Amino acid sequence: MLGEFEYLLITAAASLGDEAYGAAIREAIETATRRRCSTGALYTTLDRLEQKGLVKTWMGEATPERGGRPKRMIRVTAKGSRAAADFYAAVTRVSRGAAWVARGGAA
Amino acid sequence: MGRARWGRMMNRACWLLVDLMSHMLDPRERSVVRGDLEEMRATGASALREIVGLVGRRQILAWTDWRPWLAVGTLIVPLGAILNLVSRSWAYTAAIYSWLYVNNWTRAYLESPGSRIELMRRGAECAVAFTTLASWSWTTGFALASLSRRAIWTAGGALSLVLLGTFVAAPEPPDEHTAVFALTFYRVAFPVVLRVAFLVIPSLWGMRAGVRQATLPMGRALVCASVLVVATASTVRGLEMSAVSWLHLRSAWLHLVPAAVMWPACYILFGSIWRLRENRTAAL
Repeated sequence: MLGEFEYLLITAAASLGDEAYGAAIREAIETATRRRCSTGALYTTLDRLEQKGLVKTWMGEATPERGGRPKRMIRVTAKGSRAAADFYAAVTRVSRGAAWVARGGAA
Repeated sequence: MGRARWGRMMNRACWLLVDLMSHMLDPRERSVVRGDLEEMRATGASALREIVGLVGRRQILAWTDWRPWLAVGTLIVPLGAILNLVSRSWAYTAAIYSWLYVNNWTRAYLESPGSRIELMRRGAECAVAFTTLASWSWTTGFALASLSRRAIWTAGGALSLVLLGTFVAAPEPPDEHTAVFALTFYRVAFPVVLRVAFLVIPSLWGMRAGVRQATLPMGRALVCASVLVVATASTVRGLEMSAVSWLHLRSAWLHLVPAAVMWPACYILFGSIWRLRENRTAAL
């Protein structure tokens, strides 16, 4: 079973598709959660997910806005997609009947 | 205006620290993270916070492995303490001879054949002893880096602290040489300079080499181990005598001290043999 942050990372990477890399995922998570996402948490979690075979990473191209430095590109594997779907299904099941779900979602 | 200038200075200082701290990361990760920070247009303070957080997490994760703990139990604590105490004892001895020959220099030391031979003998003994000390320290640093490469920044810091720290059993300047150790230079500065030069710097150098290549090529490992065996054998008496200050003269542990300082060289040699065997198996 994934952890909350692992789920957020996989989901953000899946949504970004071919544009999924460290800074973009971080921005997506911060926008969605309205909480700061640290570089340390991002890259250590990414390593863990890669070790588990849930994502695949490789070095991307260097761009001028990055000072000529490369990106770490990320792709969610089939196993990662299944793990995220399982997590989402579990959260949906456990949330059924909760007061905030009945009200139509949190503010 | 003053505040804006101060802010720019602080920003530059933070980026300087970011540059320094990012060297604690793997080169690939360093490049990616610096690129991310650049793309996010991070300020110096926020970039520093991000780098410190990442380096901290990486070091903590590295200690979840068993190898850094093995390094603590076999290298950092026991060997670091032995090298610390031996180097202290030898530095005090070197201080005595330095005072004798530098502060009380007379031409008679060179004119009298007996004094001349004595001077040369003492000089050679000191040179061999401190070169051997540097070799033990280098092999300790190399073995440490090879054993706990990912945790080397914290493990190396811990080793440096143990090498330079002061312990309960640390030898004091000998009482009978008050004329020498009444001088602050010989009591404090001289031993510290010797210990930094022949203990801390070689260990850092060894760590650097160990991070770059976890094992030495077989030929170099053999030469390294052979030279160290000869060097240790030539200084074994001095080594055991300095150990007497914290071990009992008749203690059986006393004879284990030379073996203990040799173990990193044995580890390096074993690593090279292992690598050679693996390469041969892979080639078949």
